[in-house]
Amino acid sequence: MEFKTVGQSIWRVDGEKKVRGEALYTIDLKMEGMLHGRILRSPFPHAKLIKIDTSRAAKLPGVFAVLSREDFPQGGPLSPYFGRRMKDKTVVAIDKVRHVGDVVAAVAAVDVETADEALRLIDAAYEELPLVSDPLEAIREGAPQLFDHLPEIKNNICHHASLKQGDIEKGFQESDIILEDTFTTPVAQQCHLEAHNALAWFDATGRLNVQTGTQTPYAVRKSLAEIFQIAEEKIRIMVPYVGGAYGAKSSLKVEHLAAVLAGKAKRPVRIQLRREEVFLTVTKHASTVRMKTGAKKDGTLVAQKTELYYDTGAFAENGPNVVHKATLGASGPYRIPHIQADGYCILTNKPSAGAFRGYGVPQVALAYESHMDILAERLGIDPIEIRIKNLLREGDRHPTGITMHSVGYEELLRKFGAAIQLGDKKRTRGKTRRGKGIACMIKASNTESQSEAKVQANRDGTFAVFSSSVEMGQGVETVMAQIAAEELGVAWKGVSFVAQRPDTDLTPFDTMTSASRSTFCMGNAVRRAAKDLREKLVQFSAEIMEISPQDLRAENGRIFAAGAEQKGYSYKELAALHFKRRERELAGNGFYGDEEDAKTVLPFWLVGGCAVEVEVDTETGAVKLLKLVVGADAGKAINPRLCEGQVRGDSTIGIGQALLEELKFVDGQPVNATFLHYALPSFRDVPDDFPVVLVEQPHKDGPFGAKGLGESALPAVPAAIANAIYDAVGVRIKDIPFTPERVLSALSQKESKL
Amino acid sequence: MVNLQFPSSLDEACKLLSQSAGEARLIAGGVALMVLARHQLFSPDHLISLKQIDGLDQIRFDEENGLSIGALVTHHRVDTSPAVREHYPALARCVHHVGNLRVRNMGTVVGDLCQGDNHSDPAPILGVLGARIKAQSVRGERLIPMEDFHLDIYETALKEDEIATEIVIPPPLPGARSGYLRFSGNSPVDWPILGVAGLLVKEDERCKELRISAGAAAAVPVNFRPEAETLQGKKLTPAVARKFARACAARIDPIPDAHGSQWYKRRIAEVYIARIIETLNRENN
Repeated sequence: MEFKTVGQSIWRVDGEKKVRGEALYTIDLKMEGMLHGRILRSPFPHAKLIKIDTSRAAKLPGVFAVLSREDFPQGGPLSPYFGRRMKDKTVVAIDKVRHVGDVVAAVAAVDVETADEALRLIDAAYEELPLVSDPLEAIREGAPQLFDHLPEIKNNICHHASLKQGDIEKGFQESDIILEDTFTTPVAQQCHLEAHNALAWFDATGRLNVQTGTQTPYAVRKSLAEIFQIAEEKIRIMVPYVGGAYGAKSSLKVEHLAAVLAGKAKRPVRIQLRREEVFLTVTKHASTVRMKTGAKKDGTLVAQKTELYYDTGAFAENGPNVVHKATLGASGPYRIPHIQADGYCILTNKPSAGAFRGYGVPQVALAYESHMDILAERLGIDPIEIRIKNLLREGDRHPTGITMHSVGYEELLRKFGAAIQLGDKKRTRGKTRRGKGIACMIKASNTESQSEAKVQANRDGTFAVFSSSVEMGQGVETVMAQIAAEELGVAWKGVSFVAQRPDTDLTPFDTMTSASRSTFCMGNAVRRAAKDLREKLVQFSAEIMEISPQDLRAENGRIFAAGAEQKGYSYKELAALHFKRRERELAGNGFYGDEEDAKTVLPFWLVGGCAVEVEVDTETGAVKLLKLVVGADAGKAINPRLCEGQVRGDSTIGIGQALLEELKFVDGQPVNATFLHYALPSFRDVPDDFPVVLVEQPHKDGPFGAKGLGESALPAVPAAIANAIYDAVGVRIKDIPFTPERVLSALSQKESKL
Repeated sequence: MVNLQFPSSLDEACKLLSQSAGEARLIAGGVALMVLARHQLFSPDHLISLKQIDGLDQIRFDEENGLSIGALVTHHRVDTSPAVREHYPALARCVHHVGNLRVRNMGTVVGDLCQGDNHSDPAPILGVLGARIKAQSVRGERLIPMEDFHLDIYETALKEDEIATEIVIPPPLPGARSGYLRFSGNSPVDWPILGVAGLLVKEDERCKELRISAGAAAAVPVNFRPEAETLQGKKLTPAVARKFARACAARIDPIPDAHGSQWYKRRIAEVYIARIIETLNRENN
């Protein structure tokens, strides 16, 4: 199939207004009489809230509302609990606090300084409770419990996921070689540049309006409706441009606090978190993964048993889903007859861990891709060949029962190998040693999701795309416009697509902008909407040309009689004629998520990986990346430049997690929750040699064969670096980040054993 | 509200500072101060800005007196100064790695020293170059040698009424080579975990004078004068350098933190002291 717009690296449609500073973000919005909300947070990781007296704060001039548990009487109009999987999270602390930074009270005042002053006047008293910090301790019988009123939580476990295939014990009996290792990853933070913020107000009709930088406007609306116990239609969520999210802006983050304060103050309230608060709002799951892998001498995988212990912090948040995804994907993109995987989502007294790019997969990919390299070395097989030998291929059945489709691993792996010349093992001498490593990963997109879109023709020949996909930097506005243009058959030059910002009053339903799903799910909806519009234009042409619609063709932005291209109209002319006759909307609608779509269970697999060359300083243990080749199967790259940007950005987060990042806690207190002390990768932390490989195994159900790739590289990066470090200096590091001290300690231990 | 004053002369600034009896803080580039204020570690009520004082923004060099860097001179201006690059190239290279360009364009080198953060990059190199800090007050002025300037983390030898007005560096020693190596873990743009500065003068292939200063690992930069004296007249073979480095590292009392344990920091101090000697010895041939 030949495409006109799809496949072109068109400059992003929001690019110029962002460069010029014209694009509006939530922080840019101001309202007459707007108040500023600030939050009182718990200084203790685990404590009973024995007293809270807000009377002095409420009397401070300039303070309009103070929120505490007294605003949530039993049977009152506000529900004190919310949560996506279970109603465990409190708007403000009710009986206890469960992590440092847990919300205790909130104030709305004329300015931030007054609000901060009011927070200091709130008298809160706590009685400390035993700290639950280590997830492996937390699940022991007799450990202190975070929750005692939620029956679904036992031994601090809020979700147990499992995956079984074959007979695991038989599998190990049949194996010639068995590996058993434990891998750990620490807490990390999403570190989106724009801090969480929201502006909320009740209008004269009593409707709640919220402007917020969220990835999930419809889910935010639903959760707010639950807290306020009102119909969803009484709430309007609007989403300006979002300055990065990476999963951290899904579900309620600050919207509910701004909204409840606004209701109490009877004024608009904005909450803008400080960076230190962002670190306490949502994080990435720390993990311990125990993996046992059995294989035949020829490298054929036979059995794999995995235990995943994920630290979800003080509230379930997205944790159960994260652990579910990680557990179901624990065996990687490989064919293994005997599998047993058990994932535990464990509550501890740390800030909530939620969605973070990769969604639980990076933690377990470190384990399975380290094991693939250990096996390759022990068995004397090339690391690429052992992977290719075991790959799940097109049409194979994944252990979850889902059929493999659009999985271009072999092509990717071969390209990675060629790009870094993996087989070329020139041994380096001296203080610095070079090594190479590869890794790949698999991640499922989310199931049972829906998206609706509308594409509208305007009288001036431009089009508008109505969708609730959130533009958070990934380029969704541009990709949706390209999909619509392709389906309409209009040339990119000369048309313009106006993207409507998500607004639950105006743009149709979308489950969420996450799981790399927009290109596939919303892309299908937009394509169907564009097709619907095209058909309407054909119908209209048939009416005015007085010929049968079957005899019309739509190409190059024109509708004409077959065989007589000059006899017809451009879309612009048609729109003008249409609106001259009647001022009625000229639009097409499209929906993704009907019964036919749902039959596939899983929309698509995210397929990707990377290859890396490192230099290890044997005297200090420092690791430097010389070259990183990252790649993904795009299905069909709608916009190759944006795809490359996604893959490169994704893997940059992987570099940070592999080499730098760890949010540390001592006695439940975060010790580096600021950008002063939490190291993020900068442009100087990525290698100069940083190419992207895109392969395209078209997806049969994707718009023009396309699918998502926003999380295809990150999960593989730490494992590839671990494999390269091993190749360079012969030590296997199983704990990220690979700090210089960890590497040097391992080197010292290796030397002392010799 | 913060009381922010802009004296137009050094005398006036000294008077204001003296009158405040320890209450006022000085502000030049504001980088260190604003970070502390932003993190609510320090809430200034009274600030005296040096910005409108003539002459403090000068870098001056002459063969006889050496280099002087005024209190308003930014890291970026030191980095790009032709005089610094020609006569003190190691200092230019060192300040080039401080923070990032935004920081270097706002922050001053004098302010960097006065903050007293032990992760300062310039402190060790200024130490081996023999720099002194000119401190002025209503009582007069004095010169404080670099090695006496830092007393502890965030604590300097400046009295509460004294203003550090400039850094004075003597003319380069004939035949001397100096250098600075920083180690910041896996990221080249992070704070230094260790910064090692060295200066070497050779005579007949042998060490005539060696100065080494290690910053960031401990509370204040450490110079290894007694150890260095033992190398006078010796050839700096790799074995000699390693033995010296081991002796120096053993004497450091590193502060363990997220970037490394005491064991680790001693190890890298040993590695980097040996490396700076090796580098200087090679370049000085």
